[in-house]
Amino acid sequence: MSIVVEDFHKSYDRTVAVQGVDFTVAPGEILGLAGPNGAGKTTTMRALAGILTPSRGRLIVDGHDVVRDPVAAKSALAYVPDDPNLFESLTVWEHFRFIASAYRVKGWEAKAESLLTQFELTGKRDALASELSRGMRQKVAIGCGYLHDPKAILLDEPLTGLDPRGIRTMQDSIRRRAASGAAVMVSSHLLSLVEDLCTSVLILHKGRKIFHGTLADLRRRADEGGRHESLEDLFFRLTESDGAAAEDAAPAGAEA
Amino acid sequence: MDRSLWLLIRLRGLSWLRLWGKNLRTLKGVLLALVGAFVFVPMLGSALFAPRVQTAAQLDAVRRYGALGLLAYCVLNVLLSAGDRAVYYSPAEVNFLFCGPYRPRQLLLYKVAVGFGAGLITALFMACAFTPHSARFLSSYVALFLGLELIYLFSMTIGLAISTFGALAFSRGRRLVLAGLVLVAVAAVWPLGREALTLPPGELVERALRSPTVEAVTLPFRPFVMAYCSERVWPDLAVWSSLALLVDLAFLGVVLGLNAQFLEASASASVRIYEKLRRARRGGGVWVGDAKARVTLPMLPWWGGVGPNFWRQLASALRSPSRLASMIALYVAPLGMMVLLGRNGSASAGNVLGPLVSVFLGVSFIVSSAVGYDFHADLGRMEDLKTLPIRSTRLVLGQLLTPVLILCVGQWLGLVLIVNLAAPDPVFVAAAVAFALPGNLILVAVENLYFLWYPHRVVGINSFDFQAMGRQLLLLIAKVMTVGATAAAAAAVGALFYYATGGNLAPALTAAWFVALACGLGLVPLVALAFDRFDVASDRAE
Repeated sequence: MSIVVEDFHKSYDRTVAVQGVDFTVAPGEILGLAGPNGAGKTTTMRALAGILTPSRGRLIVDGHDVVRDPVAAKSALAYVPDDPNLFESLTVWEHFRFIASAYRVKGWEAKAESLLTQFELTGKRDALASELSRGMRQKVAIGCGYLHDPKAILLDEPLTGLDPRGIRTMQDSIRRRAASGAAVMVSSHLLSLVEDLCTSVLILHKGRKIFHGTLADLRRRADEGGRHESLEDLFFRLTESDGAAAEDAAPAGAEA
Repeated sequence: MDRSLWLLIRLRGLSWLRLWGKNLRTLKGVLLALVGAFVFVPMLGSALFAPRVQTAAQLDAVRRYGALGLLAYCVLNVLLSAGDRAVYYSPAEVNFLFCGPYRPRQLLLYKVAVGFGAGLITALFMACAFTPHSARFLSSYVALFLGLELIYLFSMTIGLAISTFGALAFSRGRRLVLAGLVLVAVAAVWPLGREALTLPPGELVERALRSPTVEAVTLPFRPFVMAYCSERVWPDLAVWSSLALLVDLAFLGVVLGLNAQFLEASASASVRIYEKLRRARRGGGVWVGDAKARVTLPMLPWWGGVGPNFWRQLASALRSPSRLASMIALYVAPLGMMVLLGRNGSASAGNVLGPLVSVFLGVSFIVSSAVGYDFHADLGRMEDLKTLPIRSTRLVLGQLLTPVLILCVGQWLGLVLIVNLAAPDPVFVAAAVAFALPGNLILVAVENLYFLWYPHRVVGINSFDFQAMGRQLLLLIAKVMTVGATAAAAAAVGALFYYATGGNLAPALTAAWFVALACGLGLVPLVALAFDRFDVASDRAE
């Protein structure tokens, strides 16, 4: 497994952000992380990225414990936050140059050129980050994340600010990364994105896991009892009810 | 430190030069840079070549009080901190470095290296300002640079200690620091015995400063002060600056030794600080984030459309007491200088009044552009303001009244202290109280007029940006000239009345007051015109 999360808890003073979450993401799997605001999605991703220290539990990336062996874990990881902040005064190309140096990427120029082409940024190669639109910044951040061929990719709301063409390019790139063996986690409020892109789904609510299973499991759950709900309706039903109750109601076959 | 972090520092340095060069390719950039250079080059020249104005007494005062001042700054930094201080990294650094393959110590060293570079440049500017009052430029530069590094490393140490021991321990630690300070003060005064009760305050402070306890506590800070006062490069500057460097290195050792889990605290601090900066870039000011809804201000009457905006700005101001306090402190602080001068017997109450009034006027110019709660704070809300069903002149008046009121309160409080310390002529006091209102209206109106014509964002200007310096200088000159013209008009009418009434001051001041008020109110339609013409479609702010 490229990503393993065991009994993950995170609390800030008296606020419990995440409690007892477990899941794994295998190479080639695209896990959709869904849940309402404050569910603990970003906290989980930031903890996996080594930015937050877990209050309890184990977080493993590519076989390395994020807390005990952070450098090895981070070397195998790419994390792109929902609002990627670039170095305003560096050019797009200089961002790639820095990332290549940080992750010791050999022959990075060809890879960077390829990523620029893939994300339609060739014309912006020498543009300063401060001159880029929101969507372009997103593309640069994700391009930088891909440069060292990470084994685990964490994308927080990756489609924000992208135009329809950009969305398609991004989705294709995520699928390609997964196909080449990366474990991908995508956090999104857009259930349609989860449905289109992901192979499995993890729904968090108030810091608890209320559903974890494949997309097929989720669809089965929606059709259960002859309800034939849309995924959106199911999502609302799960997240508007009490988390524990929802967990109890998880379908057979789905890890809940 | 990892080589990629060196690369990042180099790339950022080069990008700064590139940005500078890019701006210089436009005529406007060249002109602004020339105006900035017009200020900086003579400043540097005078720092390097002009005769020193320092006296032995000045250097002696620095030697006596400097170490304590440096210690006080560092301690105040701890006591006044919010309780969750952390080593600050920019959001981009958090994004790329925190989840990058680096050890925490590498990231700390990176931060120290960046602070080192910033210190080299900042110390240059500070040395230019301080050199006339120091022994020599080199001493001033070296000491200020090492002192800046000390402050930086001290702050880092505190931030990391908090991350290591937690915020609760920090709150207890603050109490311990306070208790420690009280103990030091008691230990300093104790040997004086009953004499302490009878000595004049100045003498008491002087004797306490010479006590072994204070000497011991300020010992690590002494090399920085002695380096600043070094008249010879060898051995004075060399020896003292080496000792100061050792103190800095000791702090660096503590920083690296703490090995705290600072990433989480730094990441959340980064989010908070960046949010403030973003607000400031939108025109909201960095202080807005500190506001708390503790005070509920009843809605003001409509007042022809003046009321709603006046209420909005006033409510915002009342919810940021720390900002208000700092603005008012700017007026009160010069009085500290007066106390020192008075204590040394180098100035009487009478001859302190003139310089004090000058300082007051200077502070008023600074505060009027920094106070906020006017169009500066609403740069990101211009669309909303333009859609309000209020006539522009009334909307503008509503926007200007809060800063006018804040300036008035600051000045009036300052005047109370002046009256106590310098006992000026009651007519002067009455006139100052009365003229504060129209004077501040003029000041704030002129500030907003130029701001709406040439909107700018002060955040992001670095200390070596000649173009930004030039722009600020041009705006300041324009502001001084406009305010000066209105003051001259009021003074001229006042003088006419004075001579016409056979030297009677009351009607002369009254006439001048009305003219000043008319000038202030007359500027409001001009500001309203500038507001109407402000094009929200193109965000012209620089």
